[in-house]
Amino acid sequence: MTTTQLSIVTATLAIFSMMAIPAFASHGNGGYEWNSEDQEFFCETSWPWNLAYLDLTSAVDPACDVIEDSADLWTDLSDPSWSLTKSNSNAINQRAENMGSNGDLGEMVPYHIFGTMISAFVKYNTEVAFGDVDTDDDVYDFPSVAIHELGHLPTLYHNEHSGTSVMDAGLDLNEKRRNITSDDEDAVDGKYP
Amino acid sequence: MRKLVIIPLIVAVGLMSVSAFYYNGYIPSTVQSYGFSPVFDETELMEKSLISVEGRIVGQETELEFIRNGPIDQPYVWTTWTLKTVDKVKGNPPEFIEFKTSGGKYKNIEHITSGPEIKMGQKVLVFLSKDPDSQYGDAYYLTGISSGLYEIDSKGNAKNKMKGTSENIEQLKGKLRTVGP
Repeated sequence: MTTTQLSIVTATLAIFSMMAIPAFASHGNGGYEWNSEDQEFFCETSWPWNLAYLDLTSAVDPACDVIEDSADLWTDLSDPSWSLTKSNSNAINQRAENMGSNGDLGEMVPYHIFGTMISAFVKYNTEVAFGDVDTDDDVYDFPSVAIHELGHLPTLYHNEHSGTSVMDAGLDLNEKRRNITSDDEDAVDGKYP
Repeated sequence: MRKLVIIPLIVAVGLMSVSAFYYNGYIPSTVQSYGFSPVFDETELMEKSLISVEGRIVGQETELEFIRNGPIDQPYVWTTWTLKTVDKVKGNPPEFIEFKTSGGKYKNIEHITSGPEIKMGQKVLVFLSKDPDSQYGDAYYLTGISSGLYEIDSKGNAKNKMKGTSENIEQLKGKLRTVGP
């Protein structure tokens, strides 16, 4: 076989192998995984928040403090090796966006290629009346929302039926859901032992 | 002998690159998004929505947006659904009304969401809002996202997946109409 013939055969095989690549690498709500259990997040510097209960004149971004406390809850679980720490670099972006006055409270958006997560960001809705239900009336509890969103990062999905899990798909006005259950911890441990 | 290996390799890599680009122009990849929805009951849905419609999904169109995220432009797919009105519950919707949701498939980029599953031909009851300054622009979106869509099955039951509710559609509409126009 000549070099040219071999080239043609190899190239043909290459083309067929490309055509065999599926349009997506995992199916349904599952299958994604970071290549490392140690991840970092950062907060955008300008937050157009509608967070009445936070002191927005503070030198330290108070919304980001709540997010950092939420990250610590997931990092400090006793068994899993998952770790999420604050950073000032290109890490998992926490941002505020206008998601509509009747839109979602927050949203976590991972992006993966061939089964490995390569990036993610979290959005919080600027149009929602967030607050702390311990001190405010008629608010959505921001710490509950932050704990929920960061729970998606170590690959937890929504828990549709428990009614008590921080990973339930919905949150009521004035509802507080900040306790990470043993089920949640076991799920993270299964992925990052 | 070295030529025998290197030349086919170069050609193969080159052709793989070309075919990868040709393969719809995007690396096959998956986006997922997990929205955390406010739980609205029927009264809240009626009060907060501009329009509420029972209808059938007759069209869908996807678009791709790239969202800057650190060093990466992360893809995000939007789907605009066309609904053929069967019955109006609130407002004066036209015969065909469009609303926008996150997720969908754009070429070889799959965006899977935790929001309500919508399919062509499906009968639904939807509650719609509009906020031009929001991420939805001038398009309608589901009020409360997962709260604002009820799938109507062949037995005439309207089901909301997130809330776990199921009720006869006629009874539900009757109840909704007592809330207001």
